[in-house]
Amino acid sequence: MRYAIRKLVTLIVTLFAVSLLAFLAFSVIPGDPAVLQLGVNATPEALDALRAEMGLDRSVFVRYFEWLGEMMSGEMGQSFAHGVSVRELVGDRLIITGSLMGMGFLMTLGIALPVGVLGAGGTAGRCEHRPLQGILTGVTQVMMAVPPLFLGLVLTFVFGVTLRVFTPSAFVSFRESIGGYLFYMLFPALAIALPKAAMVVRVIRSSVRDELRKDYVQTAVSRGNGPRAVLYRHVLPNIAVPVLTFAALTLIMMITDSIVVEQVFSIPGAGRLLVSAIGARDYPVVQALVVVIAAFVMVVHAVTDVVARGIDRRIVF
Amino acid sequence: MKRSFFLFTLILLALAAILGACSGDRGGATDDVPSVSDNMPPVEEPIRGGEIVVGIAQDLGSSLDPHQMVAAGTAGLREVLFNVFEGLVRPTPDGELIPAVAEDFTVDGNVYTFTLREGVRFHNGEPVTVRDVIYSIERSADATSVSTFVSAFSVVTSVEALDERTVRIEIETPDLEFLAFLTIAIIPEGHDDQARRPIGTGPFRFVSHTPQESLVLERFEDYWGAPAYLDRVTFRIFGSGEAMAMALHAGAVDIAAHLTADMARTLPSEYYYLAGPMNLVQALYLNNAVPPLDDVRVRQALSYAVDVQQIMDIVADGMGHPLGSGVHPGFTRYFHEGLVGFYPHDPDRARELLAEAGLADGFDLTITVPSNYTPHVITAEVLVEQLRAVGVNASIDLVEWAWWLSEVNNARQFEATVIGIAARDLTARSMLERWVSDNGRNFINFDSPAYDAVFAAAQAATDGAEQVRLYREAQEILAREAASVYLQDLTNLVAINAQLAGWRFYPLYVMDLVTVHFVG
Repeated sequence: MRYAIRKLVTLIVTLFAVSLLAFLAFSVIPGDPAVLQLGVNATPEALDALRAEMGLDRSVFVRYFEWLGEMMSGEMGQSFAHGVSVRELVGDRLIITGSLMGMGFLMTLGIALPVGVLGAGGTAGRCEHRPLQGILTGVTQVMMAVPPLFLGLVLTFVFGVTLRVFTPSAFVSFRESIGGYLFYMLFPALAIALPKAAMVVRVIRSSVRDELRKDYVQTAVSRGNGPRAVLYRHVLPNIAVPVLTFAALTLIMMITDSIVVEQVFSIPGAGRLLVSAIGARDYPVVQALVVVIAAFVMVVHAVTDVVARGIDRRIVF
Repeated sequence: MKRSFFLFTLILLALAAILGACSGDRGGATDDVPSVSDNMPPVEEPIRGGEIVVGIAQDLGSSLDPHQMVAAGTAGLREVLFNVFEGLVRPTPDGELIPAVAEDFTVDGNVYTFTLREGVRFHNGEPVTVRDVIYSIERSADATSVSTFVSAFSVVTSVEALDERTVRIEIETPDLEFLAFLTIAIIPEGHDDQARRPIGTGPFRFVSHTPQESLVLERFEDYWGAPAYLDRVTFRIFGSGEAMAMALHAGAVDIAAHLTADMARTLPSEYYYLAGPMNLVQALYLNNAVPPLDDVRVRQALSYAVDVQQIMDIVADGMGHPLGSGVHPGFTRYFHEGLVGFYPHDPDRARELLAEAGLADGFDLTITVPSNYTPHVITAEVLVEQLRAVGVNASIDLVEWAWWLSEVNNARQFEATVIGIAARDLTARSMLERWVSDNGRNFINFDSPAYDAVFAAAQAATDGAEQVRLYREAQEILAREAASVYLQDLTNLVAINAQLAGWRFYPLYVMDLVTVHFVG
C-alpha cells in the first residue's frame, strides 16, 4: 500500500515536471503555430488574430496553469493544426499505437521466449550444437543491428510490393474491420518486434550462461538431475526477473520505434501525430501526448516491479 | 536522416529492377528503358464513372475553409479544394480567367459588374444568390477574420446587389489585376462550418476528411458545367514521399504529383508520368542587408559562380526551366525570357567581382535550408561545391520548416537560403510585390528605389500593355541588382495510372480532376 502511494506521488510529480519542461521547450525554440498555419503570405493582423484565438498572446506560465486546469477537469483543449478537440484526435490514435506496441510486444515474447530457451537448452546440454548456436548468434546480431525503419521498408517491399500480400499504406481502421485492421498491423508489428526479439534472445542466453556457471547448478547436477531438469527447474526461474525487466524496457523502447514505423506504413497513430504536431507547433496535442507517454513509461515500470515481486518474494520495494 | 531513408528506398527499388529483369524477362526483348510504359496518356474513348486514389505526401492542416487556405504548409489542400470551390471567375490551364459562378462580367474602370449564371447550385442543393456572393467577398475582406485574402480585398469600397442576378463591385482605383482575386471561393451564407464541412459550387463535393488519413470527394451531380467523369476521388495522405513511392509500386495509388526524378524513373509499368512546371521561383535567396551581401558586386559574383544547368542535371535529370529573375514561365504574359542566362556561368568573372569588392580571399556563407524539401537540399549541396570553386566557403544549415518560417521568413535572421516561391494567383503582383522595399514579406531586405518606383507605376497602369512592360522592367531590375541568385522553376512529375487520361497542368499550384477519366 505504501508502495502504491509512493508510486502515485512520483507519477504525479514526474508528469508535472515533464509537461512543464515540454511547455518551456516550445517557448524557447523558434516556430510560431500561427505563422505555420497562415503561411508566408499572412498579414500581421491575421497573425495577431489567430494568436489571440490560440491563446498565444499570454505568457507561457499563464498558459501552463490554464492547461493544467483543463487537464484536471479532463479537457485537453483544441488542436491548433487540426481544428478538433485533442481528445477526439488522440483517442483513436492511442488505441492504434497501443495495439501496435501490444502486438509488437506479444510477437517479441512469442519469438524470443521459445527461441531463447531452446537456444539456452543447447547451452545447458553437454553436447552444445555448435553450428546452430553460431547461426543463432549471427541472426540475432543482424536483427539487432537492423533499425525498424529499414526493416519496415524491407517488409513493405517483400510482402507489399513484390508478393502483394498486403497493400502498402492502405490502412484499415479498426472501426471498419477488426480483421482487416489486425492484418494490416501484422507487418508493422513485426518490424518492431524482430529487433527486440533478437535482443531478448541474447539476454536470455547470456543470463542462462552466467547462471550455469554458478555453484548451485553444479550441486543440482551432482544430485543426479539431468541437464533439462536443471534448466527448467532451477535456472529459468532464476533468470525470470532480469529477463522480465529487460522485456519491459523493450516495451518502452517500442514507443520510439512505433513513431518511425507509423511513418513507413502510413499508419495514423499517435507517433505520427506527435511528429507532425511538433513540426506544426501544435502545443495542445504535443502536451497531451507527452503526458500520456510519460505516464505509460511509469506505469510499465510499476507493473514490472509488482510482477517481479510476484515471481521473487525476496524483492522489496 | 530523410535522405538516408530515401537512399534506402532507392537501393531497394534498384534491387527490384534487377530482380524483375532477371525473372520477368522470359519471352522478350531486353530493354534498358525503365519499366514506365510509353509515357503517354492512353487515347481511347473516355468512360464515365470509376474511383481513384490520389496520393498526397503532406498533411492537409486544420481548416478546409477556402478563404484561409493559402497557408504555406497547406499547398496540398489548395490542390484538393480546387475541385470543390469556384469563384466568380476561375483560371484555365492557359492562365486565362473565364467566368464560372458568374456568367458574364463587365469592367468599367474601377467598377466590376457580374451577372450570375442561372442554375448554379451549392453542394447542399441551395441555388447561388447575390447574397452569397456579397457574403463571400465581405468575408474575404474582413480584417478581423483569419482570411488570407484581406490585403487583396482591402481596396474594395463597396459590394452591392443591383438585382437578383447582378453584383456590382467597386474598388478604390482602377486595377488591371483585381479580377484575378475574384477567383476566391463563393460559399453559401449562413453555413459557418466551412472549416470542417466545406460547401462550394465545384464539380466535386466534399464527403469526409480524416486527419492524416484521407479526404474523400464525390462527383457533384448538379454541377452547372461539364460534369466530372469520376464518381469518387480519395486523397490518401502519406507520412512521407517514400511511403507514397512504396504505395505507387504496389499499385495502391492512381495519381501522385510532385515526385522526384528518381521516383519517376523507377515507376512500374502500370503508370506513365507527365512532366509539367512546379510554378515556383527557386533561388538562392540572399539577405541584401547583411555584409558582404549588401554589396551588389558580391551578389553578382555569386550569380556568375552558379551553374544552373548542373543543378538541374543533378536535381532532376536536366528537367526544369532556368530562370533569370523573379517570375516563372507559367506567367506567359509577364515572364521575361530574355533574362534567362543574364549571368552566364563564369567563375573568372565571379572572382574578379569578388576582388573588386575587396573579397579576393572569399568569405564564409551560411545557406539555411528547410530539411523537408529534398530538391532544395540537393540544390544547396550543389551550390556549396560551385561556390567553393570561386573561393566562397559556403556551408549548409538544415532547419525544420517551423524554424525556417520564424527565423528566416519572419525574423530575417539568415545570410542565404534555398527555397521556391509560388504565386497564389495569376497576377504578376503576387510574385513581384514582395520585393518592394517596405513590403512585410520582403524577407531578403531587397531595397531599390528604382524597383519601388517601377512597381508602383505598374500598379497604377491603366493600359495592359504598359503594365506588362513595367513588370518586365521590374524583373530586369531584380536581375541587374542580383537581388538573389535565380535558379529554376522545378519540374512537377506526376505519375498516372495507365488506365487514366485527362490530366492538365496549370500555371498555379492546383490539381484539376474534372477532366480526369478512365479509358475503355
